[in-house]
Amino acid sequence: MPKGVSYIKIGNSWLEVVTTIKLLENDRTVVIRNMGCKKVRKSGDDYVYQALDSCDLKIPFLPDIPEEIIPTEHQERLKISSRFPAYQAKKRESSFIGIRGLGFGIGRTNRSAHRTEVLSITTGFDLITNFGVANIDIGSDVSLIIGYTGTVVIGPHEIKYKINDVGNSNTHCYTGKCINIFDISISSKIINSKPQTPLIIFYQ
Amino acid sequence: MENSGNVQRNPGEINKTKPNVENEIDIVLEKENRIVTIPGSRITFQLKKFTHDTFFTLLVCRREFRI
Repeated sequence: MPKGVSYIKIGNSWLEVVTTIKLLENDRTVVIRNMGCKKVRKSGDDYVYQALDSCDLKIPFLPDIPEEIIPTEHQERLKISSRFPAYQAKKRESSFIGIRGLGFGIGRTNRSAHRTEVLSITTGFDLITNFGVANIDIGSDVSLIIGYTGTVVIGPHEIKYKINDVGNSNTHCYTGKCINIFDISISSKIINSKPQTPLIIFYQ
Repeated sequence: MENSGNVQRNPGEINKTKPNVENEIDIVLEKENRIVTIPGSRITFQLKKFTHDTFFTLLVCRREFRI
């Protein structure tokens, strides 16, 4: 994984340009395609790493204008089985909700003979819907990460999230399976039900 | 993501707009923290390079980047 990231600004939030983003702006559709990022090999004192050098974006403007969509409530459970950046999304009717997880670093743990419970993590993730993005950071000062909840508003949605489980191969091997997991429930409530033109049509 | 190759442009350079249906532009994001804006648009991009290797630093960099 190269060290670095390319971002696009959506309102006051940032969204990573991974492969393709379709946006609506000024009555036109803007497609942002990441054609590839170049990496360079760099070295530290006693190690080498791949650093991000540049990214090439191709941006066609399409004349088609998506229709307004009616905001849809979502009750989703999204699981990212990676401690590194990954994306998961669910679509319901014409709208989607997704998480771009940056990954996580485990903080405090409570070890017992049979299992290790994660008490704190440092993580960042983005909640993405048709109507915008919310950048969420969780610091290691959260005392109990499993069960942690938060609320954000994105356009017509009030979105509650709850972290159900988090861990890596060191903490989740008691079942016999060494896994990385970031398990989150998302529940969106509509606070404005008027049909609206989507801002983000597609994200991948 | 791997290098796509074949693209030789200057950093931040925006290619000439192709006529017709799809106006299409190419952008190279290269210089760190330089804001690149699509002409006639409010869409802006930035590139952030992380020079440190630890995961925690990656998170910190991301936060700083947003400020």
